[in-house]
Amino acid sequence: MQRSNFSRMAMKENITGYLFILPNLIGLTVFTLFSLVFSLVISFTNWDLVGQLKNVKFVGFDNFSAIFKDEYFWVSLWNNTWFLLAIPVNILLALLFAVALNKYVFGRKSLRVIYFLPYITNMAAILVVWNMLFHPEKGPINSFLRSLGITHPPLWLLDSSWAKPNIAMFGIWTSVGFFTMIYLAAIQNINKELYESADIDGASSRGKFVHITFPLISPTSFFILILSLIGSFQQWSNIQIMTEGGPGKSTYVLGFYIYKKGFSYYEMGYASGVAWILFLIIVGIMLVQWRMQKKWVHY
Amino acid sequence: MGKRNKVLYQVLVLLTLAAVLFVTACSSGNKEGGSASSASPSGSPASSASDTASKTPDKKVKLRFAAYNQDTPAIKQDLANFAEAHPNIEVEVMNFPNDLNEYYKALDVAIAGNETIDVILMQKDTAGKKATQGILTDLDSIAQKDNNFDIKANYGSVMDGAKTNGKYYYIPYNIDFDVLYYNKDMFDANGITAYPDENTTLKQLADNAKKLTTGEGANKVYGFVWGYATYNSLLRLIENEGWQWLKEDGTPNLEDPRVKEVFATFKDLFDSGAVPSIANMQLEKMNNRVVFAQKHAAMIIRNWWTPVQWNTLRYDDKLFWQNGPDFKFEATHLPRFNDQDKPKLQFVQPGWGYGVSSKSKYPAEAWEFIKFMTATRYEVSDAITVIPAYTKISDEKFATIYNYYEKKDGTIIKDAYGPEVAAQHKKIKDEIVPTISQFQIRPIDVGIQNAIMDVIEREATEYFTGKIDIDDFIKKIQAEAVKVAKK
Repeated sequence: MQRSNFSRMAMKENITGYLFILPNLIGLTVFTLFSLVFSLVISFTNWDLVGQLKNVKFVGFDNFSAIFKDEYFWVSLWNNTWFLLAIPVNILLALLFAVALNKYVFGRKSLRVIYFLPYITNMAAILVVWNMLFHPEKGPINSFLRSLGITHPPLWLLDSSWAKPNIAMFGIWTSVGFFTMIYLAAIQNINKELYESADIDGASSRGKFVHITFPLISPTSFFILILSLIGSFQQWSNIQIMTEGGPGKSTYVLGFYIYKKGFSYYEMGYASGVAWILFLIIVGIMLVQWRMQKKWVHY
Repeated sequence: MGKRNKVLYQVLVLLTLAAVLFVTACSSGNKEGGSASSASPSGSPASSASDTASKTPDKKVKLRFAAYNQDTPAIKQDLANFAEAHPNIEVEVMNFPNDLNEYYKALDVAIAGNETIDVILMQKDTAGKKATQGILTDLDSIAQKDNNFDIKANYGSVMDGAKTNGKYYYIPYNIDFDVLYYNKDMFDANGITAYPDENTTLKQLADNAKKLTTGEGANKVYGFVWGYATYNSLLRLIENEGWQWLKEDGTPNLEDPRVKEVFATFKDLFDSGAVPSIANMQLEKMNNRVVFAQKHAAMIIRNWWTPVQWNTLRYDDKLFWQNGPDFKFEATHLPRFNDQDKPKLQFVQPGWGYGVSSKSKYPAEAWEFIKFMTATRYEVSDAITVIPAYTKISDEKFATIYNYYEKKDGTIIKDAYGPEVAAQHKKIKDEIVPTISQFQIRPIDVGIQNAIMDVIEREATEYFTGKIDIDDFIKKIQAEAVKVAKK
């Protein structure tokens, strides 16, 4: 009897709990799960976004086989892979800034705000300023380069060799402040006694950083790495505003390709296929990272 | 413990089922509608006017009108005028985002979700696509029942460009055409007596542009500023002469010698500094109308709406011309591509317009609304703000497009330019010889056209920055366009 009462009470508690999260669960089911399933289904069809669903034809794996034969897919994937190079630069810079800000730097509170500002500012506004800075003829960057004697400075976003580095620089500039703040919080959470012990043992600054700071902020580094990887593969809005995938195909990325295929070229079935392939790529990389973290992340 | 888990599992399944039912209920709610008068698309065959026309004209019907940016005093007045003229028809303006791209996305979602829509506001290209997808009703059959209303006679030869598969699926309320504006004073100051006219060729325009370019930096005056900050827009100049995006066999037509010539001409103009490059226009967000009004351009090509925007910039934004235009300017036809081409040719675009949804239960009433919004409203309003596709508009009413302006503070200007500007635009409009449109010969999939245009945009930078020569550029865009055109 007592056991039965206990089970009933436990069940009531569980039901109450589920009722509390029911609104969120419905939202998740409708807007996330349903959308995911729907996009998976239409990736096997020839839906053109605006046509009636009753006219949609099931095409099996035709979309996927066409994707793997599509030059634009491979170029986009290559460009996405290239943009991964910006991640270690971003992480390193953020860590350096965080270490510097953690020490005695004049005006460090103001500097924190300055570094964080690009992250919270509207992207369209930033891009207008960025375009002005890097204007090939009238921008201050090229004016400065000309004053240094470089008679033909890069055309930046108008040059297929420089467009990717320029976009990567933009990405680093907008996100380094956010990562710096995360690192700073992690560094400030490290027990000071560890550093004091290290000082007593005669450890150098480098030694303290390598043997204390870096291992203890490794979970934060892992978190930033995952965020950066996902963000890098998902980027498209900055590409759309800055270069629209050009010059040539030099900045064509998968996210932008999905958008173009779905909403400009009206091949939503195909675009969904690319989106699912991108999802699998990201999941694959995450799984690899998850396994490798055992070697270098210390909790 | 096992039993508890089983119970929890059952609860979870019930919850998920509830969520699915919720979704189904939401989507079917739109189909059946909240009021008796809303159209119900479910189960209805593709409409023909005789099947679905209202049999009782006195019965009050409610039309759902998909549009954006309708929250202006002028539109509200038009809707009120329509309601007065047709008390049995209520028009409900659906709530869509107030941005062009967002509107189209939301419209696609609404159509895909089977929302009730009777009349749709859209542009020509969108109308063509939606017509081929069966979303719109053909208007010929409805017009026939309306005392054999002659669509072409009322809306002009621009309607040839508004057909899809030989039928009308939308009626434009305005037409769009480009105009060449030139600063007469600059021509006089430089001793050029041959002003641009309908016989001017692109080469003559380019030569004049170089002669009229002066100054540097803040004092720079461009000889000519193109109106559209995209590379593929340069092809409009040859579209006017009948160039088509696709050949007879459906492959891209970028190897046509005219394509090479127009790009080469503009590269020469960009390199000489007579014309700001497309890249500069994009980076600086250049508006050639402002550049012209501020006397930094001797000639511009832009559409007919240019003097209307000048009114806004001058009266409300107070950017220039506080005492009226401070130089003489005129408007004329676009240049011919070369001297073999006929003058006054232009690929006149039917502009924004209205179509009837194929799922509308009230196509006859929807047709009445369309007729009102494309013709009657211009006759009853004080002033008009577009060039109507409707051909029977009076000269006096036409002149109000340019001369009538209501400032933000409510003051009304009735004579912004005098009679010349309106007269010049009316002359151009009446004299234009519309080029036979792409749509009439070979309907082009909008998705494919977008893809080909994107190829040109992406690859053009390499040519215009001097990295590759014109022949390599043409080969490249043709090859890339062939790839993307395969669907």
